[in-house]
Amino acid sequence: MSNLLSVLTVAFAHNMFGEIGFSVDSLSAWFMAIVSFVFIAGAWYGRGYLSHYQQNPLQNRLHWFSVVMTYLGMMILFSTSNMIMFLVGWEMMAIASFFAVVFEYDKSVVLKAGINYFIQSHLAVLLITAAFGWAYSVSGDLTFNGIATFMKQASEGQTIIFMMMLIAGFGFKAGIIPFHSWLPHAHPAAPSHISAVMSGVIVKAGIYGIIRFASFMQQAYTEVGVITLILGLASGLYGIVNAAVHRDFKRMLAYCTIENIGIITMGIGVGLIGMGREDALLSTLGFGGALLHTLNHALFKALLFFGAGNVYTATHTRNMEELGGLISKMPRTAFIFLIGSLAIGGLPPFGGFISEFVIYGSFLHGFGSEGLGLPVLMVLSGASLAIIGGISMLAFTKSFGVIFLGTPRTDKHCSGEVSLGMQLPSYLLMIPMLGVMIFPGLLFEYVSGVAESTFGIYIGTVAAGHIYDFSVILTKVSQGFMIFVAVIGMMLVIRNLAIRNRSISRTNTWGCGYAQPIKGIQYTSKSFARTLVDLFRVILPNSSRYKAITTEEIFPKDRSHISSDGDFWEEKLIDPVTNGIGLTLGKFQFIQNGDLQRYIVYGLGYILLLVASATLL
Amino acid sequence: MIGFILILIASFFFTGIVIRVKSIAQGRKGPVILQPMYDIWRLLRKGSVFSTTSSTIFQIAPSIYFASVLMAMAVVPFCGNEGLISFEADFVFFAYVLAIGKFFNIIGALDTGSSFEGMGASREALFSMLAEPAFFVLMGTLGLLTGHMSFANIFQTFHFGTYNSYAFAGIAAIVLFVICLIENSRMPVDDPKTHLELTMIHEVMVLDNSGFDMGLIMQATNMKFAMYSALIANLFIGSLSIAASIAAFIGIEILCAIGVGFVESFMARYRMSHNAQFILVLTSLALLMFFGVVASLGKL
Repeated sequence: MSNLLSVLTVAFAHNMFGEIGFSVDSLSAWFMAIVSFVFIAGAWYGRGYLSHYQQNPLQNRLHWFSVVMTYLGMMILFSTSNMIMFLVGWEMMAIASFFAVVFEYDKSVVLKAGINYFIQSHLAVLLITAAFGWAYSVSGDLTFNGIATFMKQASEGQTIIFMMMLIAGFGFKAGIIPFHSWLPHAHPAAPSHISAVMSGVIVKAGIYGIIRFASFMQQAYTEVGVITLILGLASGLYGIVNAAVHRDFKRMLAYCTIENIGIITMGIGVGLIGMGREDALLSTLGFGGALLHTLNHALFKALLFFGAGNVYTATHTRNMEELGGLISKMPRTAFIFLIGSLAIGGLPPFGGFISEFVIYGSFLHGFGSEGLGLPVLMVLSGASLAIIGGISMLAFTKSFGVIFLGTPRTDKHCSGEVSLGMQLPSYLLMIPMLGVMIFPGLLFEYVSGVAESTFGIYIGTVAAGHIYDFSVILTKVSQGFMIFVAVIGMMLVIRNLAIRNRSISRTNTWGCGYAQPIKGIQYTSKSFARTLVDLFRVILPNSSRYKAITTEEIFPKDRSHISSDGDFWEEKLIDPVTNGIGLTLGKFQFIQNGDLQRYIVYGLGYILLLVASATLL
Repeated sequence: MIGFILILIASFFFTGIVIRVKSIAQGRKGPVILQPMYDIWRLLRKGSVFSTTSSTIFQIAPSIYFASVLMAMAVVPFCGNEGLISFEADFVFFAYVLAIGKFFNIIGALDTGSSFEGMGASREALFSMLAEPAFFVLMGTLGLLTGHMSFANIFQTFHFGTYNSYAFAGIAAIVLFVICLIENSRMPVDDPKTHLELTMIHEVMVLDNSGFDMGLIMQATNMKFAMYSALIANLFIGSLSIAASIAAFIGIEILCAIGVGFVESFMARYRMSHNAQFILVLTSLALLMFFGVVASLGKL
């Protein structure tokens, strides 16, 4: 399949940056196709979404300009084979997407989240540039061939360090913990179509980077693979536990992105381990699962953000505790969000199951590998993926249930179903989702071809047979889906026929005989996740402000209870570092005093220093 | 096909046997074995009462739940025969198909806006999540032991193992039995017959269901019981002749039902906060079995 797409190369003349080549191979094509599709859907949705904001022509023009520039930057970085051009594309994407995020720049929260994102994007650039610089200093070649040359010469330790720099750098973009802390801030701040595009595809630039540069590795596959797998596991578990806890539904979706990036990273890790063991089936399943999940996650995450955007447009709140019962006012949005929720939990008959199934397949295959360490790692990974699936069900039953079901929890006004222009992009996204459901075997053959050609995996006849067998299994899975859908349809028909002539009455919800239930007694998002929070208390910092009633207080006054959920890594790792830097640099603030004369003296001192050093040395 | 039909037939008697065992343990005579089925039949012919709060979700949820259990039953093999649907790693499909039924069950409960049902939904989501890894590790371990990954092949090959495999079958049967209790929300995790909604899990989720839908939910529970017992039966049957394996199947189904009855008669329900620990023990048991298998394969 991969041969269908021959490598397309365009090269510009030799200059100081080396040959600036653009080449589209099957890996680039896979990512470019996904990104382009989600950008089209996102732009279409954005038209409708932004029409609800006060029209400021300049603001709009800047916004759409930055969306287009983000897209262009991504296309450059997917297609180039030159390190400098890669960084140029990366930088275009980072800067332009910053402007796209801060659409509502007059809100301080939005601006703060945007700047947070901007800075973290550039930490990524810093790490990637350093790694590229290292490769260049050894090979003297700025094209990707330079990295290949470097990898051939590097020792095992150097390869690991080099890959760690890149994985950290790309991890900032992808949202691998502990580099994820911008996501939960930036996603709620951005307009929904930007959140959809950012969560669906911009974070995938990091995944692309990891896969692309891992393909140049020559050794140390197992070590890097194990580290990647563990990072993926940690991201997956951490992301989904937080998604189950948070009450801002866009922040919940942001954490869910961290979880899915974790699943993709797990696939990459298994793939690399397979490379180290020269186990073609293991690496094909790992990379294939990662690539398939990249597609699936892009589709259903965009779908969920469109749904979330619809809810925000109608209610102007992101706090799910204020919502409830929206299904009666916004049935179509509820349908869109339900499909997204089912798909993202990896539940059959949706595409998410296919990619998770491939990754499960890689773990199961890894069970039987030689030695003790690897099987144990695989069994723990499999168990973790099962837990992730379980918590994801909790997170999405909670979100769907609290937002759309029951009765409204507050008197928040809901302006009803959104316009057709805001629904159609969601249906557009469902078309390829349907494709994944019906043709998983073909897709797996394609992505395994991508993995083979990218990594140069040697496929013997035995392995080729196994890979073919697996695509047959996926076809059977999709037949299973069809049967399942048919059985559900049959049950619904039987049920409706059966109750057609029966008496049907409507009355209050059962409340232990209490006939006047109030909306306040419903389960909330917080109470739904409470038992889970107790289990994972260690990694879920929660600050609450409440003054307990003492015995001295005979007539207690009105009280309030405020609780907020934080991010473990942000509070324990990132904030102390940034606060430390701020404190240290603050000591030098006397230098910047706004006094013009002093600045002239600084300039004079600097020139004197230069002259002195030039004459002395 | 024969497995599917047998599970269906077993499901008609399962709860009846459980109730009879409990009655005898309490010194009562107890209702006839088919009483639960008479109840379900009566429910299926009744009219329904829907909550004014509820939406379409509430109405479609029981049917989808029932369909998911039917689908999961179709994956279970019998006596060396494949299930209706069978492929490598089909047990992942089995677990996830059941999960979609649970998903709809949970949102169906949330659809009523009742505080009790929300509570049950929250607990169901949590406890079934905790049981997931045990099932996965267990099946993966059996796959490692037999060198196959589909239900049918695992169970077919399993029987030809050494005496070790009977020891493993014992542990696997315990794990599956407890998963069965958790999935069906029975003692010691949940008490379906308690007098107070606050202490239930599954039963409290379906407080508002009535008529046909309630009948579906109850029959789905029966089928889940029979289905998990069929998995346990598969561990021991191997490849006997058809007649002998049907007899063995019926025997093991009855034993499982009596086991459930005994657990319910002689154990108290755990405190809700202790359930998490109890369920996690199951995963460690499965892991123990994994290490046992690794050791017996000579990898240690």
